Amino acid sequence: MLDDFDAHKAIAEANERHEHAVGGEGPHAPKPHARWVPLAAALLAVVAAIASLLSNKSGTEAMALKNQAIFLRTEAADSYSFYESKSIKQHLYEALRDANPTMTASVQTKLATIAKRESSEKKPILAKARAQEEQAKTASERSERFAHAHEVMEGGVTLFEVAIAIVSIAALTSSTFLIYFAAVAATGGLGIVLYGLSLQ
Amino acid sequence: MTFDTLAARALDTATSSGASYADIRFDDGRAERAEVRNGDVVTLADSRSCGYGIRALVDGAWGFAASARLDDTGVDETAALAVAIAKAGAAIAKHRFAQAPTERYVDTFRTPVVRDPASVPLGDRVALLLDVERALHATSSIRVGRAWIDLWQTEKVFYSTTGSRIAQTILQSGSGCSALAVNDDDAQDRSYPGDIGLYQSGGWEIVDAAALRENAARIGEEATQLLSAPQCPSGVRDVILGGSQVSLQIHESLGHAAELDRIMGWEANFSGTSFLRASELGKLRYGSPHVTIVIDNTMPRGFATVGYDDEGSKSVVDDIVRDGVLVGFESSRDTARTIGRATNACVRAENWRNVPMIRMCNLNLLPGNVPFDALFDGVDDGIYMESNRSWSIDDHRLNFQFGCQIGWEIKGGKKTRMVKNPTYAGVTPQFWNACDAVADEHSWVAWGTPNCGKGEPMQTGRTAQAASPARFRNVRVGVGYDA
Repeated sequence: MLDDFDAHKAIAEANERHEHAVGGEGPHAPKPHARWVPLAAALLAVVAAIASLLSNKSGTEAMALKNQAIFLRTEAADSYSFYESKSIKQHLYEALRDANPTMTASVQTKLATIAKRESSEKKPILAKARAQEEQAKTASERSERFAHAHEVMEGGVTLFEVAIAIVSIAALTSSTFLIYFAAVAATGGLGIVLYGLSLQ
Repeated sequence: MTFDTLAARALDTATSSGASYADIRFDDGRAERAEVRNGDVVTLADSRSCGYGIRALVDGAWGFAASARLDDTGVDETAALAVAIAKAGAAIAKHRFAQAPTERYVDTFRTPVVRDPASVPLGDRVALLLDVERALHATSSIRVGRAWIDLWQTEKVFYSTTGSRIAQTILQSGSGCSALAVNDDDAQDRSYPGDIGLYQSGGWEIVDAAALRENAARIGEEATQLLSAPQCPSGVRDVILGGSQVSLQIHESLGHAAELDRIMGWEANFSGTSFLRASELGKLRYGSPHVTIVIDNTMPRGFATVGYDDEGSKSVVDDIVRDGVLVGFESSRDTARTIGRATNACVRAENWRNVPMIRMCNLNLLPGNVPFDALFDGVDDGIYMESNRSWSIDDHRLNFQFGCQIGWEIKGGKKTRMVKNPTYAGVTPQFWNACDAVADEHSWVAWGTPNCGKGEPMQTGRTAQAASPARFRNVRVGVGYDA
């Protein structure tokens, strides 16, 4: 798995393959490019490790933001419930006032005052609920952006790993063609990782 | 896993320590819950708890102790502790109600299940909830949508010194959804089915029976319509209550009132007492002749249906109110004996660590003989109310006021415009005596209540009150009225 990528191990394996490739005599003598192939593998491994780190960080951030969004939604739901309770009280006091024509003016005034107070108190609660909901929405959207970036960057990390593998094969087979192929894969990986970072 | 060896050891330890009777109840319970809110999975819980509770009887006093240590030392210590507590109680008890039972049952019970919930992948469960929650947002006014599923599987094995060995596998399932609509002036809640969902004993077929997908959009629309609906009028009116509200009415104004331990004052410190008296059995006209309410812990799909209760008594069917007359109470062996009756097996513990006590079980209002639609006939001016929103009742279970989520005015026998914030109030026996019709079996539903609290330390019980809609005459509706 990409999460288990071990740069040291990849470098060691590339070096081992390099040693194996250049260690012969006579017709198997090392070609000139074989000297920098292990270095290229090592550099690719380092870049892949950094890309993997950034990708995992993006994934972690996505989960943290999703948790925050859920928490804020819960707070918004609580605020809406509070708003609901205030609304019920307001409407019931209004109904109580309206349904009893025989009650004294002072009692009617008192009930109207309570209903008005509930009405005025509920407004900031509604505003708070809506703000919390908006914050939750923002957090959720950011979470999705980070999650998407994570997915994209994982693709880049994969291409880096492919490039390392191709470099290793190139070292074993002394193939110049494969070196170019590895370069293309590494360039593609770098581009995808940078694109992923831009998505955050 | 078999508990036979541990049980034998525990009972031996209890009797050798001085108990004249002892029983041990192993309980291995699993609870799963999934909940979606506004498109997010906010709960995915799967918990399991396994242990045992031991009751010991010494000189007419009970002792109880519980443990999760499933080894010889654990059962020895727990049995000895139960006996020690019983002895301590016996040393100070003024009244000794307890006697050793003589019944012996060797039996098994398993909840009938059509589809094992374990066969439904978690992904399918969550997909259902996401679909339902999405459908709740039928309008842009829905600010909070929720959908949930609860599943329980409990393995119980009961042993007693009379030789009983009762193994039970109990499956209970439930699901529901709710939508909260909000605008600048108001907020209105709707839930389905009923006010807390449909909870029954059984497997995934209970979730299917709730038909959440088919009803979610309607619930969202109704919540939105309530925002602009007029306030429920106040005054004395005829009322038709939907089935789930009748269920709650039974629960609060009869279920708790008829618990014999409450009547004897044993719950006065926390849950309260009761306006009922044992001396009123067979005399008190609790309700009209249309009201017959029975305990039936044997009924298929009843949320509280088991083979045996938690003191090893076999489930029975027993009358509480017959043709309007109070004729029984929910009881245990000891409490029933004080009124010259046999237990009707209403003893339950929330789990292994809790002491068994009298709990409301399946307490059902038997269906009447008129179709639901016919309830509206003859109502010139009334309100039809559905789904509980709030409840308030005194600790004698006598004076109450309940609010519902939604109502409709009834004019000239027809259901007309929707009204919001419907409430009604009453005095328990007056209210039940005002019942002049109960809908027939076609609208009869075994409504379950998964969150009934009682006892101290408090235990959460799973109860049920099967009911169909019912009609009540001259009820105080709304908050303002000239009584």
